[in-house]
Amino acid sequence: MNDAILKINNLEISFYTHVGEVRAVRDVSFSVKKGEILGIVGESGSGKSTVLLGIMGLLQHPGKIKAGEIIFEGENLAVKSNKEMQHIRGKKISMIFQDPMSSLNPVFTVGNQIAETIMTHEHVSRKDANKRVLELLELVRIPSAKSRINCYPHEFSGGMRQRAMIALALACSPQMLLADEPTTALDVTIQAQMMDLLRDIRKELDTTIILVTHDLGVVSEMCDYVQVMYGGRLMEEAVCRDIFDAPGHPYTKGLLRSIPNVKKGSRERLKPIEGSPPDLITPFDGCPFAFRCPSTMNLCMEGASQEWEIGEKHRCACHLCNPQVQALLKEGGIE
Amino acid sequence: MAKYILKRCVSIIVTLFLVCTITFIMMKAVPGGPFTTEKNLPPNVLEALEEKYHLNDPLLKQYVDYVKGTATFDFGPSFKKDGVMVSDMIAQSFPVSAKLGGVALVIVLLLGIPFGILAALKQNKMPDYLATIFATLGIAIPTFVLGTLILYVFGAKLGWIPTHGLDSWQCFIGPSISLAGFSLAYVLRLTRSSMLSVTGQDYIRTARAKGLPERKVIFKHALKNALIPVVTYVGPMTAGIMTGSCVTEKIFAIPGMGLF
Ligand SMILES: Nc1ncnc2c1ncn2[C@@H]1O[C@H](COP(=O)(O)OP(=O)(O)O)[C@@H](O)[C@H]1O
Ligand code: SF4
Ligand SMILES: [Mg+2]
Repeated sequence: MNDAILKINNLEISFYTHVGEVRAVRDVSFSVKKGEILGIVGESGSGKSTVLLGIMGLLQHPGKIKAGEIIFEGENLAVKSNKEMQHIRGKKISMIFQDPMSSLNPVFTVGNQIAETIMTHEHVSRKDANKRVLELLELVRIPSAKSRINCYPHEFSGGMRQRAMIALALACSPQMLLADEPTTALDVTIQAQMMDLLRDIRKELDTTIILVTHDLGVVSEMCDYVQVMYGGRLMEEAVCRDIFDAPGHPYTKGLLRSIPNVKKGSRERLKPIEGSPPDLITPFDGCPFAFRCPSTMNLCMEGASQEWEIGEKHRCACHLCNPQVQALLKEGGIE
Repeated sequence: MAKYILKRCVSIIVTLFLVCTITFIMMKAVPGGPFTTEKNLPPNVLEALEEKYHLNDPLLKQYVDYVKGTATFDFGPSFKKDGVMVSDMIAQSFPVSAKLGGVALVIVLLLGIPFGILAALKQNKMPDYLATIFATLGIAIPTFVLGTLILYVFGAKLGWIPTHGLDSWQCFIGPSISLAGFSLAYVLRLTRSSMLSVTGQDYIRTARAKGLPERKVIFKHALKNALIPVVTYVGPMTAGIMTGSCVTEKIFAIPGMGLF
């Protein structure tokens, strides 16, 4: 896997609040291949946004990268200063956020905000920058882009603002785009358009995309590779098909049961996962899913499982996937 | 934009007209008049006075005269000082008040906004605590206490500043500080809280995600938004400060508008 553009090793991110340390990301390792769309799914509060903000170096106080490496183009972003990160943010790695309504500055025109990014990273004249802005707005398919360039964000609809955000993120042709639930705040038809747009961008510009979402439908349509995150840990990762066709982890199975299966037209009742996500402030080293898992064993309370290879490029962090445990289970020597 | 300005101008005229009318009605509705004092004036003197100031005209005529006069900046003779026109009194005292107010305004803006920003950027650190203590004091201490205190300590006891008049630049120190005190504290607090709420906004995160240097994030993206409520407050505050304060001008014996 030498074509990995980003490699994260044993990343730990914590928020040091007055009431204690919130371990939002625990021992997370993964890599992203150039040009692929990686999906990260999980319920809210599982640490997805925190991973992305950690990569960008945008963790807000009191959040800190506690341990681990974020290797991008051979450099460890985790140890870079804010100043050094300024040359990477917006230029090499860009991010789009969940709420397009509040992500653009209300007192500057959309064109101005996009041009600002270009002029921050490249020595170009205002005129050339504006020309690029126009191209970008056309790229993200904003209708009659020329007349929109001098509009303020409040003159745009939600979908158009998210398009403008994407244009802003693409302004300096970054190698990587981090999208944090880019469609959650938009209605369904706009969601589909936005996903089409992201797919086309990947095709046209060969941008690597990490797409965070809690919508499994979006994942199945968009992603090459999927990671399931829960309680600050990676639970399962596999190529997209395998997650849906052969989920290995009890949490993934639960997630899949909780979404409607339109394709089969089945009339089965949806089964929500009982319980709620763990409180990350309580120190607990067991499997984060242990309190909701239908097949919890004593072992699960003592420690989280390592990741087991259960198929080609398919890893799963559950004790049930441990061959030894499986053998013991067969003999009935475990509870 | 031009349309907006025009609209506002029309509304100024309407507002002023309404203010005049309501003032007139209220002044006429209350019992007593400008010459009512503890000692009762002899009826013939009162009648002569009312004749002189046209106070015995029919109400409607008085009202029309009053509105006409006000519209042409002719406010008639003073009730208090014999033989002096009100417009002359304003012409004489307004520049004094305005000069003092101008100095106070500069103090408010030059200290209030930067220290408000500083307090917000250093939230819950030493500069923030100092600024908060200062602002709380500034808002809590009434002008007459602050003015008297300055006058007593620095004017009378220490003799560092003159105790009255506005003849040299040193004269401005006491009154302008006492005039600025409350507004300075208020602007500081307003700037701080507004800056704090703006720096938590999503678009500030976007500005950082673009790779902008922190200086630009704060002074361009955050400040432009944070100053909106401050500007809104500074408008009426300017009018208040420039037209003179009765308390400050009385304490420092300054011949400004506030004395009348
Ligand atoms: N500023 C913060 N202070 C304290 N805890 C935080 C902060 N931001 C996030 N967290 C915690 O980190 C965890 C993960 O949050 P997040 O990354 O936003 O999850 P997701 O994006 O998957 O919904 C949550 O449990 C949340 O409580
Ligand atoms: S490790 Fe145990 S608790 Fe966790 S998912 Fe697997 S079986 Fe369930
Ligand atoms: Mg999130």
